[in-house]
Amino acid sequence: MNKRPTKPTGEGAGFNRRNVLIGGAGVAGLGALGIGGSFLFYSPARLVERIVRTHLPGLDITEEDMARFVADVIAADTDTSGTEWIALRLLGPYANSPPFRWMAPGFISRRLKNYERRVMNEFMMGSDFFDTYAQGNPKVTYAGLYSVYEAPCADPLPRFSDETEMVKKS
Amino acid sequence: MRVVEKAARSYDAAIIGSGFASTFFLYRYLKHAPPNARVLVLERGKWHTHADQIEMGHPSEIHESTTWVDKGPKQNLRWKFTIGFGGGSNCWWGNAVRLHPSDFKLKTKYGVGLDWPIDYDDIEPYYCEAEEVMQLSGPRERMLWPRSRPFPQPPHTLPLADRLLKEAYPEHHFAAATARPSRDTATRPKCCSNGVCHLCPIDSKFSILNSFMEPYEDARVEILLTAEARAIDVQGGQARGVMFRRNGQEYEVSADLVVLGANALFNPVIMQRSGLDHPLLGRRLHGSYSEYGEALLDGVDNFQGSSIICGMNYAKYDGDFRREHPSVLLETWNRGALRAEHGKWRQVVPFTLKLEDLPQDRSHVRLAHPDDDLPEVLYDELSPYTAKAVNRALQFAEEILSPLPVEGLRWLPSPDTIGGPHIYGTTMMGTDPATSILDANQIHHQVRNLVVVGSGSFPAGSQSNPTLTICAVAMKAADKIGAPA
Repeated sequence: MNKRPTKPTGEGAGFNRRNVLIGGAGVAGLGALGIGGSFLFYSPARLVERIVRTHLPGLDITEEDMARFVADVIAADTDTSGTEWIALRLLGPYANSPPFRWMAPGFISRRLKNYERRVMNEFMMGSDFFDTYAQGNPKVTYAGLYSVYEAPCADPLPRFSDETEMVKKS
Repeated sequence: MRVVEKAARSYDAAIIGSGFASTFFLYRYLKHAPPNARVLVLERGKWHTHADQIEMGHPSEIHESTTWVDKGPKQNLRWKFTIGFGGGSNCWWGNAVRLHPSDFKLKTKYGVGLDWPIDYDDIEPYYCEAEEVMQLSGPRERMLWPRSRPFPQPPHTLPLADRLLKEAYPEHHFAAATARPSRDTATRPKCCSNGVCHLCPIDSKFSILNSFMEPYEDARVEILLTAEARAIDVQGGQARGVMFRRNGQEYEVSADLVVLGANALFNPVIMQRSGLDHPLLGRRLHGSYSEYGEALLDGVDNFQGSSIICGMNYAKYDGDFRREHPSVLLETWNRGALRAEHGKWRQVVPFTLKLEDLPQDRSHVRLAHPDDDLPEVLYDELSPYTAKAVNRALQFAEEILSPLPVEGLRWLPSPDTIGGPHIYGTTMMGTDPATSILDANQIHHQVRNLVVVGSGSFPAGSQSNPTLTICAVAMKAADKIGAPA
């Protein structure tokens, strides 16, 4: 099994700024809401961390690892548009509020669910999640975003019958 | 290996292309050719090693989408092939299934589509040979059609969802037949389910570059790279040679035998430039219909398999229903997005549902003008036979997956639903020269020293992946050409 390399951390703040600018018409409204403080909408970093912690109650991960994961995810995201980011950030604080989910337009709630799934996939595959949290041990270590080209054959899930045969023979 | 910078004046055979069809033809042709034979292989692209391909992030520096023009109103065709040495063997995913015997006799058995001029039995020995060359992994148990040899490699490990499907469909659900090896071969490591087979990070799937250079290492063979075949020189009903373009210059080489193995888009336009007119040349272009989905499971952790496309379900593949609706093949995947629901992370089965399509005269590839470089393609709708079944695709998937504890099923975004990844029908085989371009051995009906290989010769493409059949039929053609008169 190849060791998964650690990826360089990204610059979350720059990404945030760029995408908010891309957001165009939404910027003015966002700015108005922003005056109210961060409880009205999340920064991308807070949104990503919130998604992970909401989905994994009791998660035990170092601050450094979480910060690195959040930065990596944001830096690697090249296809979430500026307007989508605005919607995600606005919805983030209320994501688990059923009334809000029911009221949100379908495409927005779908987008949020898709984004949550994407973040969770990155976390599960980029850490020792399947050896720890999935087995009941809350202490998780983040290694770096999963990349088959940087670390092929590192998917923790496949099982190989010839290895089973070798175990039986030995 | 003789990669030449300049072709000689004449050869016994000129072979256009170096993908599956051309290479397997060459392999068998050399077994019949005399020791002093000279063969020239003209390849349009460059020779990119696996490391080059990884570095480029694509198997070729020429992106295939720039080599033809989609004239359909939706411009939604996403065909993938490789312009480069080894052709499609670089970018394929390694699915190597045989066609079902009924696929060859659709018209006779079910009154739809067209019959092939050959039977399953005609190419069964060639299927075995191609499977041996590729060191295929496949099921040990009896499948739906006869086999005279077992698969060279044992099957991949099935994930749990596939094991449940196997229990429910003992005679219709199988481990995928694949050129992604389940064991290390002499030249390749076993597949470890990276899930990016179009550019395998560990060079595991069979490719001509990594496992089948034998025909090209033969001293009788010369390879000319970056040589784009433009036309065949046909005089008096005989192919005299090939006209090609290289580094902006036009050249011609003469040959006693010409084998056209570009692909199903380029073969017909090279023939069009050559004056080989026929009302059906380039027409009856078709593919298949593919829809990608996921079934959310309740209580079944999945993804323990050892290769990315792990199962093939034939429960709705063949039967009298084909009079009414197309054959259905469902492929299960060992990887897809994990779920974000607590404790259900792995409880999902990604799958592809594939429907066969039937050829229609309206769909075509052609050159608007003979001097044009880019073929124009029109294939914007499925045959009525297939189109009416698309609305039932979800029902088909639900029925096939019903033995599993499915709590939800949904389609995923599918960029290539119409057309699928495979191209058929543009240089069709048949028995009647009025309704086909090639005979049963892929030899041109009128120009008897011209062989046109590849899936363009398929009269009715199945939804099953065509590669193994491409190889088998090409080897049969070479044996026919090479056999003593």
